[in-house]
Amino acid sequence: MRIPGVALLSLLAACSGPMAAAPHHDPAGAFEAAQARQTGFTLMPAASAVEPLLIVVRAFGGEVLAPTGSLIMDDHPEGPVIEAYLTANVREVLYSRVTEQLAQRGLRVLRIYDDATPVPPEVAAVLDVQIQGFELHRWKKSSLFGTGLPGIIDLARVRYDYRWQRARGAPIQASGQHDLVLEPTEDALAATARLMAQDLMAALGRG
Amino acid sequence: MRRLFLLLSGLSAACAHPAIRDLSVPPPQAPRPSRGCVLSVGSVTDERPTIEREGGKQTSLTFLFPLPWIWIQRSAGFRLHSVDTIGGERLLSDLRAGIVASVEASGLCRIAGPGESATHSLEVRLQHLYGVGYTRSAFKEILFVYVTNDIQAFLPAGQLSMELVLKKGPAARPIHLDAQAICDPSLDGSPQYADTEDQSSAVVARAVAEAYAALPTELERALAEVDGPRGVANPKRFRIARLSADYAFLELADIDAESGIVVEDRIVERRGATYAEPGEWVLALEQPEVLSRADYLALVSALSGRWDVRFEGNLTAARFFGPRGPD
Repeated sequence: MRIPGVALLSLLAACSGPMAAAPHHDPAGAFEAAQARQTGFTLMPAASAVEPLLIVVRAFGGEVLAPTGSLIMDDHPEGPVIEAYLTANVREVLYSRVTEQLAQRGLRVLRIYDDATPVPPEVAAVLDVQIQGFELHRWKKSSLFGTGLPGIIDLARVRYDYRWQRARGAPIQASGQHDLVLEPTEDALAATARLMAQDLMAALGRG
Repeated sequence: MRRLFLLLSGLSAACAHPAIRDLSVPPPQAPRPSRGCVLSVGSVTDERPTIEREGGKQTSLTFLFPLPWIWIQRSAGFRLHSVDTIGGERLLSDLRAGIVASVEASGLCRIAGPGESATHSLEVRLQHLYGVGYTRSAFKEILFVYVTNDIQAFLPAGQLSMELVLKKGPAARPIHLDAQAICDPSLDGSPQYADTEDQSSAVVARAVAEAYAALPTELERALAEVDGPRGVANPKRFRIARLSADYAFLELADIDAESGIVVEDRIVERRGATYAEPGEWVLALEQPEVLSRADYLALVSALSGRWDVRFEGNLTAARFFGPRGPD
């Protein structure tokens, strides 16, 4: 049976609805983005190579909105097992991990948790971060990395806005987004914080 | 006529949407020390995006075989349940009522009666309130015969975000209430099929209850700042706090300033924003009433002669290291 050309074209046609406002829900795309990012990694300079800089990091703000899904039935050979789910205290945990990472990279970090606490005059820079979204995905692959063996891949995506208010120089304001492929035993929030700290340091000219 | 009215009212109630929850009742909470304020609570301003007010779907649809004799399509997307199922028409008034009831239950302030002048006012803006589910389906039809419609449904989540502004004269402090809840089938209904309106409204109700529970703590912190310092005498007793590793609980220890004996030690659920890292013993911001910044610094100064209390890494709360050793 001959399939008409129009029908052949329609086989390939795909139409998508407005998903711009939604959390990505595209683990495959996130996976590819994270793979691309991993190949472009650069090593951070050793902590001793960075001169100490006194900074204040304010408690992270922003609305980590509830994701549009939480649990899915695990009955498909390939595809997301858990699409996305809430992680309690995301802002607080990321704040702890990122401040740890910044300190490990040679900055002297002071923490401020509210608006009433003043910033000391000797501080060189103040960091404000607004977390815009955090998602975790579990992606089931029938052939993991071309090995032919089935496996599970954990993905994370974080989106945030940040602002460095510097004692000298204009403020730096930007956004960040990272897609991560996690190691099987890796702490998703710690890995996310590592990338965020790397990004924040680079923005400050210390990357 | 009266009987007819009662009959119609009864029928109306019976036909009301079964998923609607009463959002005007806060969960039980421990009373706080009164701050002697009279609070007026304004009506809730609705700033939610249109899709949250009206509900709706955002679904991507992919046709793989849109032919008359073979029809295969896949769709996936989320669905926000409409306001009809979350709070109903009384949503905004119920939220205000819940805030009022939460403040009254805490004992922090008295709510201003009609015509009564208030010492403080509270403006409330609703930024987000939604229950959301996610579904994916794969529909297959061959030769006009339905073959399969495989639907995968996610358990829904609920979200509430409110921005409150406490005002006293020219002084104002923002209070951000942000709460999420995820469907727990044991609490929110049948686990057999997710993304029901009933489950969705149940998780929203739990998120709202969580926000009500956090309100007194956040309100008291804002009151302390707009009211300004009250003065701190040499304390007979002071309180230290430590956040649990999962950020969910606070261990509070009341210490006799003279003897150094721990008079009371207890673990409570954390309400309101954190002010230290897990595991750090800090001088609590609540002594037991929340201190203004100036009063807190005065307390640190008063204690630092005998106790090793100092700002180390944390500029909001002073770390507590126990009795000061010999110099």
